[in-house]
Amino acid sequence: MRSFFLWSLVASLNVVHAEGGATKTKQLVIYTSRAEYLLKPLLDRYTARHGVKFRYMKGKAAALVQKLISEGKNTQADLLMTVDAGNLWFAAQNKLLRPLKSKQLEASVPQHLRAADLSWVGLSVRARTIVYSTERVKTQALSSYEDLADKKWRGKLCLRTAKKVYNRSLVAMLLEVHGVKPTEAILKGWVNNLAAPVFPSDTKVIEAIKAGQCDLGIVNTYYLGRLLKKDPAYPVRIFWPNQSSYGVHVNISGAGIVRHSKNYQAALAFLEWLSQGEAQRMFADLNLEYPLASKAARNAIVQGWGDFKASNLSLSRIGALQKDAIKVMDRAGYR
Amino acid sequence: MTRHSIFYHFIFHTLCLSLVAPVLLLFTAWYAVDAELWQHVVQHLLSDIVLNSVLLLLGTNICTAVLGVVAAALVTLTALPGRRIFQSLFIFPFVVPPYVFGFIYISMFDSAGFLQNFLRLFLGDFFINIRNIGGLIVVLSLALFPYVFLFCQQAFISQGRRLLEVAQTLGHKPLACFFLWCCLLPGLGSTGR
Repeated sequence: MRSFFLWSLVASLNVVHAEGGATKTKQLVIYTSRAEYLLKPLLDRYTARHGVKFRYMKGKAAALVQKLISEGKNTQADLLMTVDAGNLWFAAQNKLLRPLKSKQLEASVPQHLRAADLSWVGLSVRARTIVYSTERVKTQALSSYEDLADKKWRGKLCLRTAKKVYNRSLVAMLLEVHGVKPTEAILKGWVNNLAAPVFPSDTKVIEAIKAGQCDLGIVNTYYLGRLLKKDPAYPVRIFWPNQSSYGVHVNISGAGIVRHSKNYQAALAFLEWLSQGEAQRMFADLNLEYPLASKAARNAIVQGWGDFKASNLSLSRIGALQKDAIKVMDRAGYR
Repeated sequence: MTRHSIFYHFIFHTLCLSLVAPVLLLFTAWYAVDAELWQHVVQHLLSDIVLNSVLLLLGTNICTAVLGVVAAALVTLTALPGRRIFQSLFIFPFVVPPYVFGFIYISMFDSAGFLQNFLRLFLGDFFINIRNIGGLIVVLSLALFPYVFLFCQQAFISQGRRLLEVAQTLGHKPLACFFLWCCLLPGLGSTGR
């Protein structure tokens, strides 16, 4: 009886060993600042299709970049996925991301939405635009980001804090278009027109507009989208500025392969999957953003905002101007 | 020193070093100082930072002292009804960290916060803005005054009311007696720190 038990145990160990040897499980580790509910459905879909499993670490972009710097060659991360080209550019500048060779990515991602060496690529597009109260503002009065500095908006403007990278990228765009002195004057005008101290989030800006604390603001479109999803009658709407000039400021959610990744091929395959087809639709849909391809199908709420002329300024250039943008914001008193 | 005590000293110092190491690591960041960045901070930001810090320090100290002393006086030196209940309620802020206090007040007084919505029903487009240095002083004072309250309460109880009553019988006004009496309390000064 005892020998039967021992032989059974040995046999079961062999089966486990045999199974472990036949199917080698691949796993990718992602460092991401994207919320879990925006990422997990995509990861689950990829796992179901291709059998690759994922582990992800969630954190703020700056903290993740610092973590990668500290970890160096010992990092377990394969991909860095974050929002705003500024963050990705900074990671690339610190030699944390690996330049790639991929015809798929070159074809899927427009040139101005990726690094020249493909060290980072955009995976979805978000617009940072003007929103206004439908009860107190007529669209005929709106025109451009620069016009928000006009005295007619005194005490009517709400803005998010200058500390947020989205605003830094917007100001970087203004720097590229206008130069330092005119941009500083525009920002001073914005600050003079503030109805309240700057808010910590875009959602608070929109809520302040609805509550009547101010009449208009600058936010990323998906924040309004989330509120419209809950209440289609929400009395705040989008306005596309600068349509007769350089267009609306756009930015990306994107990713890059970590330089010291030990699973380069698997990471590249995942990145290429994210840049096309159903993954693109899911990636944009989950957060009410825009897919990379301008003609691709969009979420109904996003489609309802209509088409607009987007700025085609290189996001690499935007990233490079972040430091100057911060200085200009400080000088203008935009906190 | 015996071999045992050397061993224990070694263990002790190794443990201390392992606890202090993360803090010491911060100082190594100084090798990457960006002179241009520091010049920008000094020129455009430092004066605001220093002014806000000084205002916050002074304002919070004064408000915390006033709140704590008044609260302690009310529950120990008076016969107000419900003072036993307030004795417990005044230390309730201990269970809430100051930054959580901040979140709570910000949410209440936000544009869409329930307090602002309630006030808007009666006062129309009237906003109470607490997202400024004044609001910060108020919120921090409400979060920190229990420290002053507890120490003052103990000091008032241990000092006793006899001095206070003697001063009043000699013709001094109650408020003057109270201020003079408080000055005799070393506990008040130490909690102000």
